[in-house]
Amino acid sequence: MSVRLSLLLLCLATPSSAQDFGSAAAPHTRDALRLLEDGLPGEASWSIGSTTTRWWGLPELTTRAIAAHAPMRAGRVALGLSQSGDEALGWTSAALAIGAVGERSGGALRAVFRRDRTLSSAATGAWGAGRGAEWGAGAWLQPADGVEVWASAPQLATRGIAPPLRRALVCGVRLRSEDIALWATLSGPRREAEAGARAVGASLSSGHAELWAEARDEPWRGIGGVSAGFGDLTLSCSIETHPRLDETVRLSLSWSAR
Amino acid sequence: MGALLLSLSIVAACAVPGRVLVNEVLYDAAGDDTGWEYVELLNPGSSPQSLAGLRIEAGDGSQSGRWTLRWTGQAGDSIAALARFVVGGSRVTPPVDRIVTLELQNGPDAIRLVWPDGASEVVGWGAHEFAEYHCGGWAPDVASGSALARIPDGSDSGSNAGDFRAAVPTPGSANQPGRSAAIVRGRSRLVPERPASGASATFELTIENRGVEAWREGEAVLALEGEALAVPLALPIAGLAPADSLRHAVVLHALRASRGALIARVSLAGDASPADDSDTLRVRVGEAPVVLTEVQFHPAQGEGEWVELRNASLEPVDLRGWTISDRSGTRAEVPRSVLLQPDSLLVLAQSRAMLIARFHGLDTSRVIALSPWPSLNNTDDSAGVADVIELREVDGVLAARLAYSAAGVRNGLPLEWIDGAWRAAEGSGSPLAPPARFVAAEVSLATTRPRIAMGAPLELSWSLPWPRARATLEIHDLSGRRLARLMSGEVISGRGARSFGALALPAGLCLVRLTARPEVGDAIVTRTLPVRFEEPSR
Repeated sequence: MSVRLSLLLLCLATPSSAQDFGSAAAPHTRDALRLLEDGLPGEASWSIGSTTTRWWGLPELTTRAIAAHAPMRAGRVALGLSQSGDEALGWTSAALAIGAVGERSGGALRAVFRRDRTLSSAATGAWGAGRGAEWGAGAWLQPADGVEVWASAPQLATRGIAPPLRRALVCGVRLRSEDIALWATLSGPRREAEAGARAVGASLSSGHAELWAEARDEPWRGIGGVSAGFGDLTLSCSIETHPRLDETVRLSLSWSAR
Repeated sequence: MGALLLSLSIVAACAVPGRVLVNEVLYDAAGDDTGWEYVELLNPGSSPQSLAGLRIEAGDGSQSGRWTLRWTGQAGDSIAALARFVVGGSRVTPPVDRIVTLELQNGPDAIRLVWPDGASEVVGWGAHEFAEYHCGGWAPDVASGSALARIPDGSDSGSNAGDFRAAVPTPGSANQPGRSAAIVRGRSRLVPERPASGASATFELTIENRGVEAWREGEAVLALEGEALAVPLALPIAGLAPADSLRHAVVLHALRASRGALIARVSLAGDASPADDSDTLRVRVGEAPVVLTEVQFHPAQGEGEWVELRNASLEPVDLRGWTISDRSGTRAEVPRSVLLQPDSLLVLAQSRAMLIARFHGLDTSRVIALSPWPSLNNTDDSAGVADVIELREVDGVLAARLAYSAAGVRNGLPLEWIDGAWRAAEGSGSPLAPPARFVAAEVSLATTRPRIAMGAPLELSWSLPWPRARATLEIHDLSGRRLARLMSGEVISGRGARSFGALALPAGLCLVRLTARPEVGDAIVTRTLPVRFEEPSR
């Protein structure tokens, strides 16, 4: 039944990229950044994470974010701040996510509030110039040992200025053994005449190190990442290649009270 | 034998004393000569003369003894005392006394009057090899549209060279009026020929007193007008005696960018011959639409000489009738319509086949062979100039001029316009392509508005290191998904701007990606520009 549910979600859904709190860690990592970005709760420890993203080789389009995570029994709370882009096009974000985690499932609500760094007359309204917000949710389920399905709808609702990136429902399934994980995701179309997108990935972990890679379509491209733990610190780096654009590079550093 | 004696007896005869003489000849009318040629006869005596039996013969100076009868006076033909009698074509104004087709040629040629008693008069023009075609020295071969006239009327010094000069055609009228100030056609020029906008230049011209009366200083006034001048000029001219001439130079300041006529006109009270009072120069001030970009004057690999041109304007230019010449005056003309697009290159070649064989992959439609090719010198003269290349528009207006030195340019290397100077090119040159080092030049993609309201057009401008390029322009979202393709291998100008309206894109941050490559070659450049499409808040 759970496998059927996974397949159904894969057929219906579509992967979307992070924009404010994207992490360089493997997609199945459940840390503060992932909770804020996708509404997928997980880790049961206090943690602080920071990440920097240089989008498609553009220095003027860099995102820097920091997030804090607090477990409260089954509850999970994360707060974060992010700033992206230069004065002309950039924006600042504040995010909050609240969720809960059970033995084989978890879910969270997320909210992000944004304000443009330069106010534009074209983006004014009830929320004031250059302000906007989005609400979303995410959940995961482990129907069997080593199998996880998840879904994330980070923009169930938006208000004020449009978000920099429209994000659709993403569904995924992950199969995991002790050191190896395989996953696949689908992202739904965000507007008419747009196809969904697919991604498949794999990771290999050993001790405190993990290598991962993912392939995406629309257009076909690849992402590779590596994470390494040093005590309570974890350093991650990922590079996304693109047939048309230059690379997107992410660097993340997190501290977790293990 | 008798014919030979007769021929010898009439060699080099000048006007016969007391008889009608040749006073004016128009042998090369402007444009088609048909119907415009004439010979004007003048009776300098005080009594009428009969022309019965008088023959007018045309002489071909290329060989001896080649005279051809053109007209014979009839019994009723006569000329009053001090009067003129004109024989010529039907289109001469005022109408001639006798219509005849003369078919006279440019020099060296001649006409001859032969009287029934054997007396004769010869008038020859152009440099003659045979003495029978002129009297005491040949008259000058005059420019098309000018007549060869005795100045003053009836002048008879015993030499065609001394008696005849170029003059405005005056069939049936005096060759030299009482008062006449004239600008000598063909001797006006602007120095430099193509001045920069806002710069100064000198207008040089020759003013001549073609009347029989002198004028005093200030009586004649020179006026200059044209688009290049902010205001028309009027300048007094020095006094001139009859037949004297004056080389005059007028400095023109702050010339305006233009292409058109610069008209000089001299005015003199009582001028009896206003037809020769003006001269017109076609000039350009400022940048020409087509420039020289590369010159191969000493090919070493059998490709022949070639010259590369670039359309530096924003409009296509048809090169039909444009000419290119060297310092020796050898001039070749583009024989057919060749539309050179903005920022495009074109090669004029000594040998199209050899150039194409040497440079594989050339766009053969933009390689034009010219003949006769103006052979370009490889060795400097004492002034350090090997040769001078001039590119002129169809009406003769100078477009580009290059006086180059071959010193220090290794055999086989072309000269190329690189970074604002003529330098030895790299390798064997780059016909139909920019300089090799130019490829590394600045590449840009920009927009005037990085934030675009939904429904407003996306306005882009770009600069590429080639005159033309094949471009692909796509829009991606922040995740890298392609939202739209605005160009797909489209040929665009190296520098340009375009507005893309009505884009059905979602609000948000987008990346405009330009990928461009030259029309010929493997280089590729890319630029990404982030923009934000905005919609009113909800």
